[in-house]
Amino acid sequence: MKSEAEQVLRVGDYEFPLDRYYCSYRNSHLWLRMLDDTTAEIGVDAFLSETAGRFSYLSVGSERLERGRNFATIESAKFVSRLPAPVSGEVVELNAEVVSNPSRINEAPYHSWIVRVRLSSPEELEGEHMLRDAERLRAWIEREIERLEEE
Amino acid sequence: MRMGEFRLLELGYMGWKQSQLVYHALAEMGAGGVVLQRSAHTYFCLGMFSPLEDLDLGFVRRRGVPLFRRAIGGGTVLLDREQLFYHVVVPRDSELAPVRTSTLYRRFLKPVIQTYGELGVKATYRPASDIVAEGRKVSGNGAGVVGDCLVLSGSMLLDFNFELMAGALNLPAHLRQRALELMRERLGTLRMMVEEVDVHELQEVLAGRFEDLFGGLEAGGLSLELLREMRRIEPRYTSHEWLRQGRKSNGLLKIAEGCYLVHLRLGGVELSAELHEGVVRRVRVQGEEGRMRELEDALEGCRAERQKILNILAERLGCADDVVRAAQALSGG
Repeated sequence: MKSEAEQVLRVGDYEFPLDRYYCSYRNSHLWLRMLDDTTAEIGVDAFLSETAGRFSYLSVGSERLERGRNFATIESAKFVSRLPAPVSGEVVELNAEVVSNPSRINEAPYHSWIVRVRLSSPEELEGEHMLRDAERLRAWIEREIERLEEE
Repeated sequence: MRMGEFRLLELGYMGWKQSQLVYHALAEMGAGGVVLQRSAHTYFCLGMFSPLEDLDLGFVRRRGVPLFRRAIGGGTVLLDREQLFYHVVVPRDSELAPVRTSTLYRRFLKPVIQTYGELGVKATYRPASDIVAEGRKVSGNGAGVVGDCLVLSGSMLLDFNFELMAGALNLPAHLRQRALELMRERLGTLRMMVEEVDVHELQEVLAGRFEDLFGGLEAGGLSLELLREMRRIEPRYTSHEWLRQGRKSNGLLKIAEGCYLVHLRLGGVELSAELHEGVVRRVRVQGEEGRMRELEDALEGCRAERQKILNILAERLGCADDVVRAAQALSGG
């Protein structure tokens, strides 16, 4: 039996380690992994990392995250996206290596966290857009792949 | 897509700020549409992350050319009366909003490519966001998310002030001259390619091709609501803080896709080079005690691969942070 950290959901060509949450809010494709009871790290999932193209620039604009409000700006292929915070909290660490070289996200999306955050409202993890259950996650990603196939 | 969901705004000449605020405002309002217009004034428009320090601000000030930082991607561009701007704004929940970034460019640049075709110019899309014809970049584009909308903005060059663009680059004189030469080689305007260009006809064709793509567009104008939104967002987009943001320069100046000029200072060493389709060319390295020809020879003709270049640089200059940055620039960023 694999431990939670080793379990990976595969949907199409994309992989989703099941040791974390995935945020489907505005199809933001961010992951959030709890480090302890109140601290989590946040990054970009494999789907966004592949469909956006090579990330070239990243900036984190605020030290406090408010759920749903943009906390970072990222550019790939001359396209600027804004990342909405999946939870509220205070940034306790910024991954300087990823900020200075955001293409690391494309190379290893699940090892390239952007910020570590102390959650101010842990109950937000129970929100409808925070997916942890493999079946709900699969259903969302399948819908996303369907959209891709229609293009 | 139903007619009426998207509007076509043909706005003619607008002031420099208004020519940018208009599509930011539409996107902030969540209103889909295509804006075709021209700028009455000459200005530099920086991308969301473009380094301000890549411009010679003294030159820009002396020439009285204003600066605007847009909220979408791409590099710094010179915009003026001799360009026809198109801005496409599509709500993210629209059927026309693609998931993949490359699809966005392919889909929304199709009307522009078709328009070139109708003028007899065989243009094609070159990733990430250029349109090329006869081996030259004829249109540069940037895109992004503003509010809850996807936005693509670009222009068709009728003519281009190469001297002003090159003159404003924060480079030593000999490299500015080289940038000018490269721009003349790699950028193309409609006046170079078509005997006679009637801008009104051009706009009519472009509007028609966008109507085809959207399945009809409802004619619109600068509504009171849109003007109010432009006024509301103006302080944010014209503030000193907004303009001053952006990343630090990485020493890489893009002329066109596949063509870059590199200029870096690594302590007492000054390095310049060009990247042409992934190969390092025209390398010049000036050390404190003269030209470093052995390093120049090692880099000349090298594939622009970061690790390979880092090895060459680190062997001769050590492995300091600025050497890593130089390897990044010489491998195309």
